Amino acid sequence: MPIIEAHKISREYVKTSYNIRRPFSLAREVKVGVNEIDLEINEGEFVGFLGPNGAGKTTFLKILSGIMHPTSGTAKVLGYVPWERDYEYLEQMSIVMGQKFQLWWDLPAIDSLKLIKEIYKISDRNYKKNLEMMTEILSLRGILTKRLRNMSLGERMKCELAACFLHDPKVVFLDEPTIGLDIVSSRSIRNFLKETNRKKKTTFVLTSHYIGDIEELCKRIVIISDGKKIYDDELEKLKLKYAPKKKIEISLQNLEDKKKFAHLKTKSKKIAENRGIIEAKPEDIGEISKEVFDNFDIENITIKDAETEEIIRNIFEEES
Amino acid sequence: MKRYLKILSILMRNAVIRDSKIPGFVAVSILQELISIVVNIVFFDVIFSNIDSLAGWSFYQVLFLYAFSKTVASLSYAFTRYGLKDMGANMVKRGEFDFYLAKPIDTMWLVSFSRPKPTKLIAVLFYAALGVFCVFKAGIPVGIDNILWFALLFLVALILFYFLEIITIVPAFKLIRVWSLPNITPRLSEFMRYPIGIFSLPLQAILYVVFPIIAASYIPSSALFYPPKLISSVYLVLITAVFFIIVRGSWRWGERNYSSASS
Repeated sequence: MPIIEAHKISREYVKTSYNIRRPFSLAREVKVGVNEIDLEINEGEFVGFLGPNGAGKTTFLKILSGIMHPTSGTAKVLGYVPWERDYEYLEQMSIVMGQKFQLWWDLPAIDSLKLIKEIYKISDRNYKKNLEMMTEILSLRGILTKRLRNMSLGERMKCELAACFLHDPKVVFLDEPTIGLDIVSSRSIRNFLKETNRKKKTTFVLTSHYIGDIEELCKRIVIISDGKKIYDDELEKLKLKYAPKKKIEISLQNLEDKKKFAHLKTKSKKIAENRGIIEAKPEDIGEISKEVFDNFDIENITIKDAETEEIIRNIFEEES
Repeated sequence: MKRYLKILSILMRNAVIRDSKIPGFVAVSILQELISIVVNIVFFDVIFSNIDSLAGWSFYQVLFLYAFSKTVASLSYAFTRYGLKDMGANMVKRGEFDFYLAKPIDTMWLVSFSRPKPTKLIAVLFYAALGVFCVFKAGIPVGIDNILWFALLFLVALILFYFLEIITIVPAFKLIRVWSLPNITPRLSEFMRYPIGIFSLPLQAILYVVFPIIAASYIPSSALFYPPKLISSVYLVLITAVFFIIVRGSWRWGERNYSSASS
């Protein structure tokens, strides 16, 4: 049974502006943020939301977390209507916003966590257990006693995650949790999310512009463009659907290699920066690779799928 | 209730930790309040050197009204003022209100008490002491029934003052930022230090009924110095109840219309 159900969720924004030529009326401009999105997510799923800036990803997450009311449509998360703000629902849900922090700026993080403990009515035992667990996985030792304003962005984000997971939420909405972080911090956060999903069966909905986050964490992705859902399926199927061709790359060491490459029978080939690139359909890959291996050294050949980022970029470009 | 008190105690403790890191903060706050008290005593002294009473109220009674109004305002500064001010200036505009909505707690309460200033409690002590001094010096016999009525009405007045502050914040939900609108209540609280009789009838109607800020000081103070009037006391309770309904309704309306900020 789905843990998150959304049916035809729409959200419009009305922007009013004043025109001096028409002093007694306000001009109204309606912008659609989310347009009739249907979605079902099962318990324990890790779903990635992708879309260009302004596509409506964050708006949709805020509707599901009860922060915003939709203009129309229905939704239930854990059996509750999110925007009714039932405390029982809010106690089982959490939202992480990569560009905003809820912890007190001038205080050590641990003092803010004590406040969170009381707000969520977390027992002393669970608080201690969860804090110890997160201190371990997120390497928070020595950080929690630092004031927020003295922390690096990565440290702040880790503390923010600790605050959001203290109460063992069943559903977590992550809005670009790794934005602006270095590789080490991003990796540590991804590992934490992966572990939490695996051990506690927590359901995650993630938006991120970093394809690395999506590829590593999400089996299923939803693509939104201009407020509309344009794709909702497994990431692997997206590759098959939108990038059915594989790429064979050959490092061309010298002029002779380039000549050999030019004489290959396959038609869809090009040379870029001393690399010969061939795009091949799965059914042709055997024949083409045989010819390639006959002509070039094996250590100079790589066969790979098209980059996910490239596929998604192509989808966005097609849509726009 | 117990949980809310515990959260408040943590918020206050965190605010003490925050403020104690700023050198001289407490000393400067004390100095500022003392200067304000002295300036106002001198001001009233100058006025009363030319008149015997103000709308029937003696020097010490008016000084008591001043101390009372400042006690109410200082309690607001100590607990709710800065949270509400931040709501009007930043929380909606920057989308920080998102975090409040995502918590299993009353958002109006949490926003109000989110930025306490414990040092303002020192001012509360000063003004309370000044008030007690004025009661003794006024030379009017104050009975136990006066004190009980006053204590009860003082609590109601505090709640009413809090609701009046919230009313000025609610437009932020729609207007995104309300600029100096939250300053209306502190500005109008200046009227609280005078007996109602000195104002013209239209102004009395506005400050007693429409935006009943004078009712919040005049009714409890009158109950202390004169035989308590049941009708005034009931009026204060009723108008507070009406404002409770308005405040809760408008806050809910605000939550429904909250559009957050882009990421």
